[in-house]
Amino acid sequence: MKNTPDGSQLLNALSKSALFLNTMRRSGMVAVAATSAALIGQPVFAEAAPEKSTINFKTLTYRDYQPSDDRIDIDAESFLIQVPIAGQWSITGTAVHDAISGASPRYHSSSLAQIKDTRKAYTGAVTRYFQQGSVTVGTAYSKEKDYISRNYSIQNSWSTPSQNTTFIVGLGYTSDQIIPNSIFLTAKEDKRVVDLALGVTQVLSQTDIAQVTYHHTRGRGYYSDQYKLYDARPDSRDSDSVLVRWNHHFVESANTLHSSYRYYTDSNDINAHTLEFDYVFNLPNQWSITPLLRYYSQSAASFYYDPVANDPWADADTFGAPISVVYPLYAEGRFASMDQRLSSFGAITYGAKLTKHFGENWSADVKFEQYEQKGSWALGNGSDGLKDFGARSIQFGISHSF
Amino acid sequence: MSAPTYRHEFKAMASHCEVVLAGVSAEEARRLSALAEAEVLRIEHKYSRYRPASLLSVINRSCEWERASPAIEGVQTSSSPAVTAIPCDAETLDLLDKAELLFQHSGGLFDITSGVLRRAWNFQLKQVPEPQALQDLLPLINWRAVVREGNTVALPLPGMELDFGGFGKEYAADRAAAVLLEGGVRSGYVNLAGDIHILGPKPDGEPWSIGIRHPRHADRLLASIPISSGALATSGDYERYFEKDGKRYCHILNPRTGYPASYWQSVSVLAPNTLIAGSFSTIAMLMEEKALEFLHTSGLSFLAVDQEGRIHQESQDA
Repeated sequence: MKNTPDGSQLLNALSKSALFLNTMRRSGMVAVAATSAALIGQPVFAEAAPEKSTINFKTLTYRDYQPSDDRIDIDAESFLIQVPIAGQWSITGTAVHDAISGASPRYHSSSLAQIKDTRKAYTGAVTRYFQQGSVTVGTAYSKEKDYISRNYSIQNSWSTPSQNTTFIVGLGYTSDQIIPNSIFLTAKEDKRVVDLALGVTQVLSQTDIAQVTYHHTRGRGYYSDQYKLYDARPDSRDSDSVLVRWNHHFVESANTLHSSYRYYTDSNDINAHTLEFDYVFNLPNQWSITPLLRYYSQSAASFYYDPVANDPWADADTFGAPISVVYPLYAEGRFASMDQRLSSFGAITYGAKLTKHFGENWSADVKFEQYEQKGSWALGNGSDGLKDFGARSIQFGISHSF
Repeated sequence: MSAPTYRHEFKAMASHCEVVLAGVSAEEARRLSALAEAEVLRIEHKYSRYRPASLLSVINRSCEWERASPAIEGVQTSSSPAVTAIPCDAETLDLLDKAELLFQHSGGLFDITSGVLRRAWNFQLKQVPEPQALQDLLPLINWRAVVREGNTVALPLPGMELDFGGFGKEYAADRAAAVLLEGGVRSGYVNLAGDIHILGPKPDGEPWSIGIRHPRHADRLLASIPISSGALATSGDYERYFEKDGKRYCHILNPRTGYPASYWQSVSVLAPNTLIAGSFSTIAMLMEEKALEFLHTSGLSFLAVDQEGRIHQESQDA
């Protein structure tokens, strides 16, 4: 090949030959999206919220607000203004969208599940502050074409007079409706989840703070994925998890190390471990950089089946799938899933976030993350036959706390 | 209160397809989406290489070895190829013209005779073909050798075949969109397995927000883009592929070498219509490291992800 062919020549040639040509209008729209936690109706305290006694440590990583009198707050974490790079492509994993562009989707991806009409989400919380504590009552509602979720929660926290120990008790109730939108679901289904969180935060010294949170959920209802081929999961799921966090503040440098470990186990036989570290380096002029490292490992659900190279029942559309194993189970009404998220795998994430704060309420950040996932990285036996994942993501954000 | 949006889903070309319409009555939406679906199925039947009766299959049989002469029984006579020129309609001639343009302006990388490589690459068996097997097929890949005279087309060598897989689905999306636009639709889109032709913005004037699938996380989005008109298509190395000895082999095959493209994880292109968007994204995949220059000179908006997961993107302002 002599030189790289010139794209403008081909475009001109094809445009002249095209049957029709639309003029393209482009919008410099700034998408406003809610973060995933609020959208999927997770209880607001699913991952323990920062307690106010930790504010001094965490102002760099958490948007928070000082307690004052009774007031209604919109949860600041729920809103994220995404700034499209160069006014066009918005690099994000959570934007609300209407359709997906990708190489031709097959059953094994969940691309179809991503096709949504519109998505509306509201969260609200009222907090009443007392001398030694606070009570927060919250509600969240989200509606999509195929899913309606309502969540109610109450959380009580109180501290010892010294403010060195803080307790949290939270109770939540989530009621979801799953609306048929694929050939695998013919009638409306629902799902109810009750969850309980108990936490204690202890200031250990001027520079150390630790937190232990126990979280239990009990869910009943429809857990299958209506967009996946032959996906049938138990209609109950109970889970328990324990999260231990420890933050250490370095006085001389004013830097902070956040570390956490979480153990999760549920009635589907998934046991998971998450170990995470990040380190906030303060730089002059309200800049900070935060490197991050996370390891995650989970065991497979009891009803998960690995892909196979050459299943005799698979055709061009289901290529790679263990159809001859899963279909008979499905047809008999037994549990089965080929969802790779239920497989056994290990994953490592590393990255860094660069943040610039502007005054009290505004911050801008750019975050690089590299994610690698392999079956063989699981603690114990990893699942076979799944593609390894490896991806680098770059995310830009501007945040404003209200 | 916004006007209702109607979605019609169907299966064609072994993929999930949908037509989304707004700003029309429910009855109109039903009628028009049925017309759009019929148009997609018409194109599939006409150009599928899997259907023996399709026009494309007829063209692919235009050159066959002459049957051995029965005159002297038991004696093998040397056979020679018999070529039949197949008359084509205007639509097919137009598509062949487009194939010619795509070949010319891609330095031969977009070649609709390259489908024969599928005989060597079996993505189910996950085997890298022997170099000789590919060498044997390469002589059959040669768009220049295809004989076009008047309104006829013929293949000069037995075993050669045309394959519209590289732009057939994109063309179908454009045709379905044309049917809908002719029917008066001004709001909605046609989505054939991720090749999306936008008919016009939502009834309130807002653009549709289209997500780009993450090439390494099937259930995640990598990016999104608001679009009011035009088309978006994505080519990637992540749908039909296998890995062997640490190397990924995807289904986008280079007609010169016979081997898969390996530089990009995915390339998305925004263009005036789906055929342009799709062919540019495929050519970019095949151009490997030279794709950025090619895309840049086109002036189209694009988003490309390289093997390191790095995002390269360019946006055009109105």
